[in-house]
Amino acid sequence: MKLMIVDDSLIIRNKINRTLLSRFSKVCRAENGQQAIDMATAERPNVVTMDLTMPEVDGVEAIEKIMAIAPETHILVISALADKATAIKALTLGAYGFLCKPFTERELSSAIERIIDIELCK
Amino acid sequence: MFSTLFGKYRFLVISIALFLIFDLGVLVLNFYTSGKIAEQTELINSAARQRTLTQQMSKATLYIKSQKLQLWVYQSGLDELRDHYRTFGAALQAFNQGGTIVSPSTGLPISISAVSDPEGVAILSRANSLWSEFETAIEPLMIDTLVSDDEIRPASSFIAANNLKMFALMDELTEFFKATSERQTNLLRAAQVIGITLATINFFIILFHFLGQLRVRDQEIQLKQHESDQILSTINEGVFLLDRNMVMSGQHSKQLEKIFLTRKVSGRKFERFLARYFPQKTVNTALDFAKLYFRDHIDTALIEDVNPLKRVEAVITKKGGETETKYLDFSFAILSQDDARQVVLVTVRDVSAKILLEAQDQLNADELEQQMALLTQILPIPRTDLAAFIDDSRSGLDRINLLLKDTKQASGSYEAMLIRIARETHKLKGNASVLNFEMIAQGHHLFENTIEEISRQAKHRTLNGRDFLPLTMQLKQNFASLNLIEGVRDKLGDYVDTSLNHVTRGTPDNRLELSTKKSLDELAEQNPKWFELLAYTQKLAAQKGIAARLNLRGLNTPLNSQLSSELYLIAVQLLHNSLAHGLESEEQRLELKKPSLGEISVSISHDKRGNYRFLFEDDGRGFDYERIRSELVDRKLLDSREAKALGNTALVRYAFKDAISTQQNVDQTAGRGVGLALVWQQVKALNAKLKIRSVSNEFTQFIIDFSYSPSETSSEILDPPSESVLLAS
Repeated sequence: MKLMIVDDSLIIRNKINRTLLSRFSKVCRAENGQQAIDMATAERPNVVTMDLTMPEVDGVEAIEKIMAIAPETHILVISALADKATAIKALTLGAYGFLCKPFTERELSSAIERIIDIELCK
Repeated sequence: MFSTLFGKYRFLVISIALFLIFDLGVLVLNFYTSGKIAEQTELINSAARQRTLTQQMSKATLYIKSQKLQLWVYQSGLDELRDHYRTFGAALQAFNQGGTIVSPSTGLPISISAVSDPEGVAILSRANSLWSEFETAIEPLMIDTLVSDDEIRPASSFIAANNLKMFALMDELTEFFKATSERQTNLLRAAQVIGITLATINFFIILFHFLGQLRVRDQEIQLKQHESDQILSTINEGVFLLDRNMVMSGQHSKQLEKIFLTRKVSGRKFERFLARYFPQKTVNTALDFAKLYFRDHIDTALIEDVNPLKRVEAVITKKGGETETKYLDFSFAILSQDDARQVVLVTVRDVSAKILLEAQDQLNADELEQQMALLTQILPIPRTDLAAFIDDSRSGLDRINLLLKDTKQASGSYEAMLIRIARETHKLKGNASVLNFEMIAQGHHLFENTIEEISRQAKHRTLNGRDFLPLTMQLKQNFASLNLIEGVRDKLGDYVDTSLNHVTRGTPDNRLELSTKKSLDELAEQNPKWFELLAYTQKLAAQKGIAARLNLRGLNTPLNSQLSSELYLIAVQLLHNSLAHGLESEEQRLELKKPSLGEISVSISHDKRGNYRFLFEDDGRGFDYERIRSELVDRKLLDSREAKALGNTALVRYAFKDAISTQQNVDQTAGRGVGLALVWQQVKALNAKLKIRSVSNEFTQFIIDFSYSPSETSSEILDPPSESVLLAS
């Protein structure tokens, strides 16, 4: 199972990677929305963690495009709660769930486990 | 099998099946019996025809005999006899063995079954026996076209003798068929009655069964409804269901009506309902959020964080038009109903009390924090100084309060009133700043901001009492802050220990030109409030980004407390002034070939006759006359030509008026131009003469000469005098 981590913060990318590395056979990382779209096209990850506020292409646009490319992808939005309307828009566009920054490793693991369970039941 | 096939509908299916079976049974029997009756009718008619044929054969025989005797033609009679004979024989044979005969009523061939009933068979047996004799007698007549007397006579005699017997037998057979038909009719009638009765009974069983079931179901529904109503009327949360079309359900809890003060809930569009209480942006977001619960791809356990209706503020309009603000907490949960439809269970909690409690807790915590902060500020301050500060501050606030009360009564001269309030506030702020009471100083600073705002408005329109309301509110807050300090002071009791006080304050470096530690100790001992100015100067200088040292002279002996307060106020204002506009930054001073450390000196001296001299000087940049000029023009007090014509002395005079400051930005210590005006006010209160000397980039010196005895001074605020003694160079 493949994971793609999308966040413009290296610290966050590392934290997510450290927490989830053991659960996935491959982990790829993107630091903006455009990279995420390109990587999703090439790698077809099963699970994506997506920040919303990023340079160039933001998370909402990236979600919309990734869902168009690979509708079966499970996207977990991980973002600060500055704008709930944007987060809801991301969910409406196809994201699976939302995790608020700052988050604990346990919260992240728990959210990802729910997604993995669904993937395994396919 | 039925139970698995039809489940709880088994009874219904069986009942309907029985109903159909009964009806079909009656129908089949009806068909069968009516067929039999029809056949029986044909038999009756056939038997009756046999009876007639018997008579007609007798008649034909007699006719032939009679015609023959008279030598007349008898052929028609012979044909008739032969026809009747064959018809009778064929019918009798059909009765015996079954077969096809011609229907007497329609003339069409019909099939009949052999008579099997013993009674019928017995009649037929006798008829067969007699018919065989008929055949013997008539058969000779059936061969030739001509009949001999030997043939007709015995036949005629036999038929005449047995005609009535055969007639009777056929009559008996007819009656037998009639009886059989009647039995079958009765059987059919009975079958119909039984079938219809059974079907009717079955119908009523179904009817009553379902009426019973409906009654039980209704009772269950009523019970559930009652239970739901009971639950919904007793639960302390607003509860309702939301369907996929974002329509609110018919049932909801009573608490929901209480929360939103409305009964218009059932069947309403969620969007329109929310729009009555929340801004449109919140409504739109909430609606989008609620729709997420009906989306298959969402894990609803992972979206609670984005719920826009968490602890949300709702403005609820009461009946009289008044509004009430509540804090509400909406939570959503997806439910599947019996019919597999999905709805969202929405729970609304009024968390206003909780939030207010949290706010109160926070307030208490803040207050506690403030008290702790105050404690650390109060502890180093000698009790007498603190008491003086509290008394001075309370007196000042009282005076401001009185002035504000006057504004309610007086309709004019608000501007002058504002100036007096501003001066008083500035004085209070200075005192608070020196003692490090940041909270108090900040309160006075905000108060000054408001005064400035009102002053600005006064330039564009006539003020009224309402314009001063913000000041009243802020004054109340400043009183509260002072009360807080007083409360902490009172809780501490007699905390002040002079020796401890000295130890804790220590000796600041680089701030006093007193040559010995003894001199510092004397200063702290005799005039502790002045001693605090040393640390205050360093602190303020650091805030301004400059290096400065304060030198105090003539203060290591006790100073009359009232005089000390008056001069202290002047010193603080001038100190603010020096640090704000006078002293340059270290870089600027080095460029000007000055020592990097700015010097400020305050000295108080007097002769035996009570003639005092208060000297304040700094080695800063001196008066910025051009700045004062531009301020005068900017504030439209003078035009540029008039400003340009003013000499330095006149410019300094203006600087001592309100609202003329050479600092570009207002901060907590300077920038409003109030400080020098306050100094001027104090000078006048002391009935003193003020001399000012200033050399650009060299120094500024304020010399205040006055005579003093304790009874001469007054704390009343005076308006700026029209004349002053100013020396500027």
